[in-house]
Amino acid sequence: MSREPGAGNRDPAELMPQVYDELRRLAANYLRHERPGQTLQATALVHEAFLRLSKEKNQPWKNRTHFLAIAALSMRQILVQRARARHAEKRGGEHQERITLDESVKSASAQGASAGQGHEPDGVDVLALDAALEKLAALDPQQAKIVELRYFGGLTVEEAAEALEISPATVKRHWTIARAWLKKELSPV
Amino acid sequence: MSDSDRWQRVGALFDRALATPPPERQSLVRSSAEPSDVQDEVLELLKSHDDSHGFLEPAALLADGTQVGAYRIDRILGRGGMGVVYLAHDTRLHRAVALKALPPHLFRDDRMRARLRQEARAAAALSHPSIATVFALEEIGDQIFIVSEYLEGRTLREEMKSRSLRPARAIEIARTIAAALLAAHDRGIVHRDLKPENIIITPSGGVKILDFGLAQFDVAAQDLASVTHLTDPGAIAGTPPYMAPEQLLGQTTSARTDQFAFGVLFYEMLTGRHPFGTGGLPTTIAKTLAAYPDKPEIDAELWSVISRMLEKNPDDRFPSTKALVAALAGEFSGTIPGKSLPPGKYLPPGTHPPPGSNDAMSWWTMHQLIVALSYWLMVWPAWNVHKWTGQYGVLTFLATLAIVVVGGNVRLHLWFTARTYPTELASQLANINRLVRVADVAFSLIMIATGLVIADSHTGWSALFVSFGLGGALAFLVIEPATARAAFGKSEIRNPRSEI
Repeated sequence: MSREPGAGNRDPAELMPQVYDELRRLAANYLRHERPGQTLQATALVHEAFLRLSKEKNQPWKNRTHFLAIAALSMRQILVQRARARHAEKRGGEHQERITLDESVKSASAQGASAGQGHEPDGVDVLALDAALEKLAALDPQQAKIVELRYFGGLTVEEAAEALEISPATVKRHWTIARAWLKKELSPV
Repeated sequence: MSDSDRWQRVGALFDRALATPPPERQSLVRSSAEPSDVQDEVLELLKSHDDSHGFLEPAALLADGTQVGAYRIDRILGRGGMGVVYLAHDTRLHRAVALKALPPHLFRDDRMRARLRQEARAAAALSHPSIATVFALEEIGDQIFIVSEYLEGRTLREEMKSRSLRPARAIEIARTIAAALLAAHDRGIVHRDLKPENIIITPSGGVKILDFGLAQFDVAAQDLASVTHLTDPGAIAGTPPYMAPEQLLGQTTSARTDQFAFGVLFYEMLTGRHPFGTGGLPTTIAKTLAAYPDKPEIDAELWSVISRMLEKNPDDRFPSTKALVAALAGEFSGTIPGKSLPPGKYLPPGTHPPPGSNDAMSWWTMHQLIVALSYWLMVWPAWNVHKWTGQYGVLTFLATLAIVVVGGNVRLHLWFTARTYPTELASQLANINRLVRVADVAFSLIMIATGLVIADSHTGWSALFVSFGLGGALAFLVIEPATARAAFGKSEIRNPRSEI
């Protein structure tokens, strides 16, 4: 099992600056036109970044999956930094604003098994998720990595399996328990 | 026991519990040998698991195994800027289908939803063995899907990458694509995004065109006022390296726009390279607009077809897709000198047969018969006058006879083909059109010349010959092109090499 350090320990800006910069630029651009309640779609940004950067000649990444893995890490850091900045800005303000990621698909969940069970496709607090992922990484770094790839990079199970060089079945198993644990961890008691 | 070791044991028990049916999970966990705190945590996780469906799920990418209406998602087949395609199982009809959905950021975009509906309608209007079949348009919750046949196989891009296509195979694929485009264009539907990624080569070697994603109804052909606003005039849609100049410039697109994209990919199939270079997107766009591709090492006649497809001005391309199909039906030699490829003996299956039953077609067929009979009728008069035309009399008669035999028989052949094998007419016509023309011109000239030579001695015979010659000229210059135009659509079938 790989022992990958969490997001805080590795700097994607040094790892692959062009990916990090492109994503940061896209995110800033996206959020500049932010309206109240608007959400940021990490997967869409990562995809857009890939479309842009894949046209360039000198590509330091090995393949698309490799790119997505770097992008997921970058995206996580960008969002966490942004959330922290917001946090500081709003400190002392009348209410605290959360940056949400509209990653849970209303219809997907509505159509799924939990239909009608009051499942809230609510946004996720990025800072809380980041902290929970650090905790999870202490228990099982690979599970934390899988969540990072899936959630911040939008990788499919197969893509995550390819990125981590493990079987899709293993990814699925880890993903299921990690998600259940995070759900529990992030639920208001 | 360290935290991570404990977590491993929690995970193992959790996996075991999930593998059993839900009602038995609790007893399984409680009866396990793990300490009670591990058991408690697993039970909590199981409860949390039941609530976590869709939680943290990557955007709009439906998780494998998700049930959407009657479809169960198996896996993602691909995704692009305009859509996500899943492999799914239709639980009612028990078959594999492809589901095309909007990407997450366009999910609630009404314009994009309208566009997807339009795409489904465009593709559903088409029924052709070389066009992927659309089964349904489903709107479930706030998701919208196009359900279409799932095609195993490789894209033409992958096919080109993995091995270079033999010229014969490339021409075969091109003929099939042309026939499918003809079927679509006949219905007033233009693909507008033809590229190697949108063409699937099935394991049995069949060709299927996918994704009438940007298909646009020809407003004249289809009264669909509701869709005309979807594509703003001037809005660029398509994939740049395969876009025609008029598309890049945001001008009106037509069936001839597809001809250009087809020309680009045909060139690629034969040469393995893009006709407008690979010097980056801006260079390619600039070349597409202004530069002409180099002639590759291919058959000269094939090159004349492809270079015509790649003309900058749509008016300089083939006047109709039908004309293109006819041009491709010709015989081309391979890039290997001396090795000849089989001619297009037949139009690919599913090609709409020429409308042999309609009036114009009957007239055209009749015309062939009348001309053939007229040729033969002149044999006796020609023999009769040969003694009056001096030393070249016999020679002139023999020339006339030769023309009558060739021209008359070819006409009879066309008449017979049109009546019996209408699907082969276009290719036959493309092959022998030139011969017909030469015979017509020569016949008329000989008739008029003979008439003039004997004008002084035998006025009556002279009048017959001159009027026959002029009548023949009138027939092939005016009448035949007109009936052909009426019978074959917008323009007469023209083979670039048959132009005199």
